[in-house]
Amino acid sequence: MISRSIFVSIKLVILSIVIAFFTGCAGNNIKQDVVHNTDSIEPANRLFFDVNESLDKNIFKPAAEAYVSVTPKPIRTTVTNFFNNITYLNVVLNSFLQGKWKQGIHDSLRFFYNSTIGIGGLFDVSTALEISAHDEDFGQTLAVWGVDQGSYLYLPFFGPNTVRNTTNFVPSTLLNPLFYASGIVLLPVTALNAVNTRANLLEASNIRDEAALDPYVFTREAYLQQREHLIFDGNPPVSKYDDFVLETEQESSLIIE
Amino acid sequence: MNKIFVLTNRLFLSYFLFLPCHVFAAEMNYSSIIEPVLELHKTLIEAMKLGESEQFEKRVELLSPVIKRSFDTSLIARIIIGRAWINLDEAQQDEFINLFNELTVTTYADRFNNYNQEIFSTKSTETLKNERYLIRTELKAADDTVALDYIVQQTDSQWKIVNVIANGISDLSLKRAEYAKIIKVSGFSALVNKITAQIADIKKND
Repeated sequence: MISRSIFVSIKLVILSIVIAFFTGCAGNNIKQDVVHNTDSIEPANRLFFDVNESLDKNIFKPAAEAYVSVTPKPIRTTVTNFFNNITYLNVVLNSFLQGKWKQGIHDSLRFFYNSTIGIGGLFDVSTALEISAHDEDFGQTLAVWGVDQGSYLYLPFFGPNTVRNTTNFVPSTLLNPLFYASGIVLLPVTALNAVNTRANLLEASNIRDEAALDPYVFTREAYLQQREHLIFDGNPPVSKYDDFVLETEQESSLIIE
Repeated sequence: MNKIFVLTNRLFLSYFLFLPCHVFAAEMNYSSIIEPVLELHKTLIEAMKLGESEQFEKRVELLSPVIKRSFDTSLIARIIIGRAWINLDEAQQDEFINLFNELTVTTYADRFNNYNQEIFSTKSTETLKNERYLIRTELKAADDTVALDYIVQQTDSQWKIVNVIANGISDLSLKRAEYAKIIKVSGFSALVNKITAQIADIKKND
């Protein structure tokens, strides 16, 4: 069943690559997003944020902490490897859709080695073979194609997002072999993925809780900046870091004048 | 013909005589630009080596003068408060600068509390507007690597840090957005109270 679904997923990747190639979509016109003033539905977002925070505080975080306390780190790493690998076809697809051909081939090899030698992704043999992981999704692809990010969204259960990035739900679901598995398998596996993902975020969320004075704003700003960092593959235009300093200098000179 | 040859020779000679001076000056300039970052990194490694929570006060003691020297806290404070800065009187501005300096020191002392063979390395330097520079560095730990970029500029003939960017997330930008919201909703005094409480929490947990 799983092997058939992987076959279906791979066919979807190949089809998308062919479409991308012939339509010439993979351009290089990344627009730098305006990080601020994108929270047009802040009251609704804050409501969902509060709901999620409450669910997290009472259910997900305690479950993740319990999971960490009873599961040795090597097993948690194996679980993380498995879920990273099973969702990696989406990375492969989006590397190609962004015109990163060499990276796409590396990502394909990474998926192949981890799925075969790495026993269904349980072991990350590709990293040992110096085929490093990338982080691509359809939201980033749309950004590379020049689509605006749209409004910031805070979604129930899923957390921070943008209108542009919500489109990633479609390819990431269709390219996940687990999507084609039956409900009996899917439910416990999805629950394990949720708890394991939350466990991996425990340290980051503790830092946020300590550092944030307004956790909602902190989460929004960190998310939007992190997205931009990913879109530019870790090299966003340096000018964006400088804008506030420049703005303050201009304000100061106006005051002096 | 001979004159041209002599002149060319002299030009070459003077070029090579002066070249090392230019290179030397550029190197001197480069080393002074990255100096606050290198000093901060060196001190953070020392702070981490001091160990866990029982050494919190010692880490604060060690980091405090270096952070005061390396960061342009008065400019950072002005940037993160934004337009509300001009509505504060001088005493409030000074109070906020001192408070923010204390927050920076306690945060660093809290986070860099355990040494596990971490290594800082400087990757490159890029020129920004108005003689500011972006210094790209990396913090390598056993199981992770964090990209740490710094914006430095000269204040009173000293190069100082005005922004820290960790994995693409600018500290200045985060705080500016957060603080602006708090000032807008609850006022400047509420912000000061929240930061004071935050510092107290960090000290209590260490």
